[in-house]
Amino acid sequence: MTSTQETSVEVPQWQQDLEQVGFVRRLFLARRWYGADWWFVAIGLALLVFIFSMAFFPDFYAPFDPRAEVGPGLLAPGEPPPSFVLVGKAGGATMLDDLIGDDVRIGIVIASQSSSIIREVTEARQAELIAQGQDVRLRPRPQRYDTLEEALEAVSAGEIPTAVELQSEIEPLLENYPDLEIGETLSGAIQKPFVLGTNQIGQDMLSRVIWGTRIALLVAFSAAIFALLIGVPLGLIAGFWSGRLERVLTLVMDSLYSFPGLILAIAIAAVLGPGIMNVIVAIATLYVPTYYRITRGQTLTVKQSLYVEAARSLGAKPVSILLRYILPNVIPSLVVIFSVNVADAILTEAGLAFIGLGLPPDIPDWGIDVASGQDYLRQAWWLVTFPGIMVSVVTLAFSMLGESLSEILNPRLSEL
Amino acid sequence: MMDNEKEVLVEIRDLDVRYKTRLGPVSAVDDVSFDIFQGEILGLVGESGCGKSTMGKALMRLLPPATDIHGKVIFDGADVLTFSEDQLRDFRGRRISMIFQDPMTSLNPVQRIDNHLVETIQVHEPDTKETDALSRIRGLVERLGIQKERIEDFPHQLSGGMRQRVMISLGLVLNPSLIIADEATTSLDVIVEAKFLDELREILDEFGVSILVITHNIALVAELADRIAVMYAGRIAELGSIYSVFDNPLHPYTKGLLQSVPSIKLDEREVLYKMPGEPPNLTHPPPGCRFHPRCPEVMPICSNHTPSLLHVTSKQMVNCWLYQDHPEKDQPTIEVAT
Amino acid sequence: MNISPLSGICLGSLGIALLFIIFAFLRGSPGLRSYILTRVVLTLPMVFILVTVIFFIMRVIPGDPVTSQLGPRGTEAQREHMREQLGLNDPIMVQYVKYLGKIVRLDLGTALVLGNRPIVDELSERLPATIELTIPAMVIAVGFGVLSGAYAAQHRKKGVDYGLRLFSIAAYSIPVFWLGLILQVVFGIGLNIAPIAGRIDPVINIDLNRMTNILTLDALLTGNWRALGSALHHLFLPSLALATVLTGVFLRLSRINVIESLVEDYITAGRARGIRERVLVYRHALSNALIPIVTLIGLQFSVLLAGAILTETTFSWPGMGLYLVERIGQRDYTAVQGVILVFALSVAVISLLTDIIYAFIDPRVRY
Ligand SMILES: Nc1ncnc2c1ncn2[C@@H]1O[C@H](COP(=O)(O)OP(=O)(O)O)[C@@H](O)[C@H]1O
Ligand SMILES: [Mg+2]
Repeated sequence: MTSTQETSVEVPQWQQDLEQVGFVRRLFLARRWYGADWWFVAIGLALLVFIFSMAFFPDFYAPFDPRAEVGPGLLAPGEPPPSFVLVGKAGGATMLDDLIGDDVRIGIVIASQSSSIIREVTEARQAELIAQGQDVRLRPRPQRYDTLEEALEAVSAGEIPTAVELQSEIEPLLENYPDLEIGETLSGAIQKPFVLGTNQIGQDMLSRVIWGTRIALLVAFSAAIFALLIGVPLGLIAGFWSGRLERVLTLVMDSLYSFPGLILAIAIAAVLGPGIMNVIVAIATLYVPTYYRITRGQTLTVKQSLYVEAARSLGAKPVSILLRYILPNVIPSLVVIFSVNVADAILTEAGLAFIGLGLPPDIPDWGIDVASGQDYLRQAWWLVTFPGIMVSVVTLAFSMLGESLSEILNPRLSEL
Repeated sequence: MMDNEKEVLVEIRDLDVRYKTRLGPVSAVDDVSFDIFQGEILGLVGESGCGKSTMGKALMRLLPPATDIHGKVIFDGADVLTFSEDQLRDFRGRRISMIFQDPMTSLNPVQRIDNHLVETIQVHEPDTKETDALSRIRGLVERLGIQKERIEDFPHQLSGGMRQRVMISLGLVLNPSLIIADEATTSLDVIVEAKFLDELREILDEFGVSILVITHNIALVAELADRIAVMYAGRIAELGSIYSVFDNPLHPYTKGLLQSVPSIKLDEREVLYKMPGEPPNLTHPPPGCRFHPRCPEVMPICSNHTPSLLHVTSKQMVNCWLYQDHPEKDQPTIEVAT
Repeated sequence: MNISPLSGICLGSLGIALLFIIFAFLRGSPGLRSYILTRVVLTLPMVFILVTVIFFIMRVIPGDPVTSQLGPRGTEAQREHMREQLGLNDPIMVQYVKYLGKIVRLDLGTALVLGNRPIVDELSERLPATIELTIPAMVIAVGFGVLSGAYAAQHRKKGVDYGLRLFSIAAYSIPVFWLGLILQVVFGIGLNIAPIAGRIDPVINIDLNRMTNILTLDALLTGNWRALGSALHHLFLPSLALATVLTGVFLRLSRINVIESLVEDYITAGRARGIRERVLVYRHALSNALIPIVTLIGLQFSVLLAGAILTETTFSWPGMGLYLVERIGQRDYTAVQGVILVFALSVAVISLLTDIIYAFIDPRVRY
């Protein structure tokens, strides 16, 4: 018995046609078919553009230097910086200019920020006065008191002309000291509230979060690229020239692959010690087996079909077979894996930094910020919240891209 | 109607099926009308990809939800295409059942054979107890030559032929009026297939069901069917009783198809006819008659107008301009002697 | 050799695993037998490679445990003494062989800090806490993840599907330690309805009779309901954080596998027999998908471990993960090496076991 045409495994016509369509057009054709997947890719890409611009031009987005202590510590997001005021006897020294002269004393409370405010404000005023041509001295010496009451007592008793403290702290006490009145407000350099608040040492969270993008992307991309540059050639070679060495290599790679990633990274980072390069090495090691396995697998498949076509016997050199036939087959999977790896690397880096491994502690890094914010969880929720949101959003962008790209590029599952 | 001694079981009218893909719609079945009679075996043949399976699935509305389906499939006076989900569930399996190509993949690998059968009964008759269902299937299973012990096996423990018998018993268990067998023997080897066909005929006569045999294998249809429908690129090219079509093929496609089948006489080393060209891509089917680019007897009109499936004799219908009149047509219309 | 609790647990579970493998080997078809044999034979070099890799990472890469432990202030004599004690003066290959010998005897060395206790003993105190955290998280995640994955598959390309997929991507993208902190801020500090650190209320802890050190289990066994309540209360946030992340992973796995099952011929055949869509998804497709899903979940064991380390750190949960992090901080490299080794071996054993179980329970196996 014979048949009009052999039916083996049926590949629908549209799938064969789709093979002929270019990569970019295929993405656009996907739009009608995967509504949301397509949008996932688009949103992921848009987010990434924004994130990259932040990584490349942090100066443009960040209002402050991430390492500088620019304001009072633990200021909540949107909370105006506290205003310090002078308090003195009514009709006495209640203005800044009243403090001109040598050896003027000013009362402050220990452990408040008023002394740095005084220094900042008086220096600015002095410079102003000198610019106006007046050669006067505006250097009040701080006199420390344990409590605000003691300081006010001293002012009221005339021991010192004036004291400085937060307006909100002084006001309720003022009725006990009828002879005192509030004078000039000493506004520091920063008057506007900090959008995301400040951390425990007065650094601007917004600036730190923005600068953190650079470190995160630097580490994640370098790690993924290193892994790719090592794993892909190894996989190509192993798939192409099989032998004993290849078998050993595969066994090693399989062992590494099955190893829990974060733990391996912890081991390596713990041994290497802190440093950006060390983190990159530790994370890159995790992904080498992934690239190795996928490349070797693809190479073996293509090699088999090539033997059927007997391209080898036509005299093509192995290298040109590698470049012409094998590499193009692997690239789509590599795109997806790379994107997923970058997402994973960002998480791993943050995890390492969180448990105190990897980066030197002065670097503006999300993981480090979350870890140090953990100590202030009860007072300052914003310290852990915003860096964590950044980690999540950047990881999400890469994951969405990788996940939806693979859904779109893999038509077997899609049009059913 | 010619075959009016037989009652019509299914009336298919102007059936259009269009799959939606991202490369545009695929017109897999286009303007197809025919009848299936009670108790007959109708063979549907054609090259793979011409829309046979689509047609079979359309009769049971088994196509993907996004597919465009137009026309009428009238079964027992009701249009299957307008059924609600519940009506459809009741209809499937009880009135029409389907036997699929690959008996290995068409049985749930982690479900025992008897569970398949019992589940099928209970789906349609929820009040049936398991023991009653089991006793009901016993006779059927024996008739089909499946040993009693084997029905407690998992599908992978059975041979290919045995699995196909299981598929048939699943198709017959609710006494449907029509069985659609889609390439049901393709996966069997030749000897098993021959034996299987003999049995199939007997069983079907016994149970009195009609079958739509879908296959790309003309020889199979010749052996089994009462009537044959030849399909090409989503349309029926020719339809008629086995004898008339095999003795006197009218459509150029049918002629080519029959010439490309080797004869049984092995000593004659005849040169087989090879049809030129390729079947069309159904995303962009050719205008007019879809066969015209490959047709040895093509006329100018063929590429402009679509012919219809019309009776040329009482037992044969053909879908070709050679046998039909049209004002734009210059060539004489062939009259076929009855 | 005295058997410490951890070695007891390890030996016990290894013994059960071995028994199971032997059982599967004896019951199985010849194909299954040769599969089990190859799989076991392949695992041995893998374990060997892991042990070796860990050894050389910890020893050969620059960074000297003695200096980092004693700090720059240690005298040369102290250093020398410590080196001698740790056997660091031997040639590297001798060290390596000794190390292998010790591992075979389940001896992971002694801690460099805090009374130099055997690492095996220290770990055996920590293991129950890790088990107590991970098993509930795993159970919640598998239950919720697999079912919602099937639900998403059933409603493929509809709103719920995309919603659930977005949830799974997001759950994977959120760092588990951060999620833990946010849960602490919201439920622990803001709403003040759940404790944010520790395993049990210390006051209640005093009259809890400990047997397994898995507190909920102990409380159940001794009928101490107050302790059970407190232990569950403390377990709530950490297991929620860990479970959320795992749910994302399992949802994804289950969705893809159910979709792949749903396009199989037997589903179409079932539909052609009039079987309800719901039954097709949850009985037929899911039961077929369950086997690969379970295997894949076994492979996600490393995700679970990584998550456990971070979650324990966040919630001061005194398990093996927190132990690892603490010892890294104290530069106790012997302890670090020991924990990592235990993690690596458990991953290897679990993946071996899931593979064999898969092969054993799948009626389709045709090896
Ligand atoms: N689910 C589907 N989506 C899109 N196109 C399909 C689908 N199923 C079949 N097709 C296309 O419809 C045409 C007819 O297919 P089919 O009915 O399976 O043919 P046959 O059974 O005759 O081999 C083919 O071109 C095929 O590629
Ligand atoms: Mg078909």
